[in-house]
Amino acid sequence: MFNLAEIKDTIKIEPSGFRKKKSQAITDEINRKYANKVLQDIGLCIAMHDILYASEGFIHHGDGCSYVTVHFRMVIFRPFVGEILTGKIRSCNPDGVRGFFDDIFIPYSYLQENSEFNAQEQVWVWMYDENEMFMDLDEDIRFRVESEMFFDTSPSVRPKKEGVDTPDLSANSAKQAPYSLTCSIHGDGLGLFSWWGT
Amino acid sequence: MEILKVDAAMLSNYEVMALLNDQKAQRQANEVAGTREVAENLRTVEFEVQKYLSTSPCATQSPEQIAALKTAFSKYELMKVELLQILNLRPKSPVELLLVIEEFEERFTMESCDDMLRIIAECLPRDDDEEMGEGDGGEEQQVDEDAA
Repeated sequence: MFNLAEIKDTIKIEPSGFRKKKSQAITDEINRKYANKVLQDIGLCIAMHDILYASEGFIHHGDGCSYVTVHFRMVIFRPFVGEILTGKIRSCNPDGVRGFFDDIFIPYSYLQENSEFNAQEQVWVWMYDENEMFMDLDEDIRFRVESEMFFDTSPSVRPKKEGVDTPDLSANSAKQAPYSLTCSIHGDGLGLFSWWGT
Repeated sequence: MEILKVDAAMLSNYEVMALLNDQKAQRQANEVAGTREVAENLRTVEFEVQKYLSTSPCATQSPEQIAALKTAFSKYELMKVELLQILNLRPKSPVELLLVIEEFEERFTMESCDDMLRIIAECLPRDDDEEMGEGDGGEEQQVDEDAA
């Protein structure tokens, strides 16, 4: 679920960071730049793990900042396809069920067989031997990762919405998560914890 | 930025939790001296991950327990990812164990299944009644936001 990635980058340390220890200043800068960001085809960055190598700081002409080349390792959230994860149900809609990290989604075709959507309660129900098993919100759920998708959200490739022209840039862009997982609960042992008595 | 190695190593939930706790403790020690401020994005992701991990089985694990589990499982030929998932999910029933181990029926017998569950329960002791009683109130707010 979590792994390490080795990354090389040039880190800029502003003069205000000079009073810190060098390793501390680098750590802070790296965390500020990477934490909670998605790297394309790498995964979601959590925090810096350790520094493998750091060069001398360089100061460029006309700029007071110190530039350091750093090799470091980053803790990345990236479940492999087929991995079993646990989480909580955030929401249900006729398309499927949404999981705990915002961008985990279980489409209805990956639910247990004979699942139906209860429009009144707005939840999915698994019909098992005439028992109605409700998938209530906030329930603990176990699921398998089926596929992952990265979406480049950099401004240049972002598709514009037709006919909408507001100065607010975020309103113009399609709301697409940069990294999302499609999961399934189709199989023995998958689904709510309570279904399997654990 | 340059990516040197994508999968340098895999981490167990416990290691991630230990790292975040370490980092936080270190930062708090420094904060007394008033020399560091924490980036917003780091705080967010730290909070979310810690909230998630604190309810998962890794919250009560220790390096000794993990080492003991690894030695105990060395007699079975498990893949690294299977061992990792056993560690992260701590299966308690056969159905859970079969889920994380691929093609269990072909590779192992049902006796070894019982044995594995026994090893897990022994190496990673946990007070399960306490676990069930835990509730977290912070989640509800986010559910509302998501629904809206």
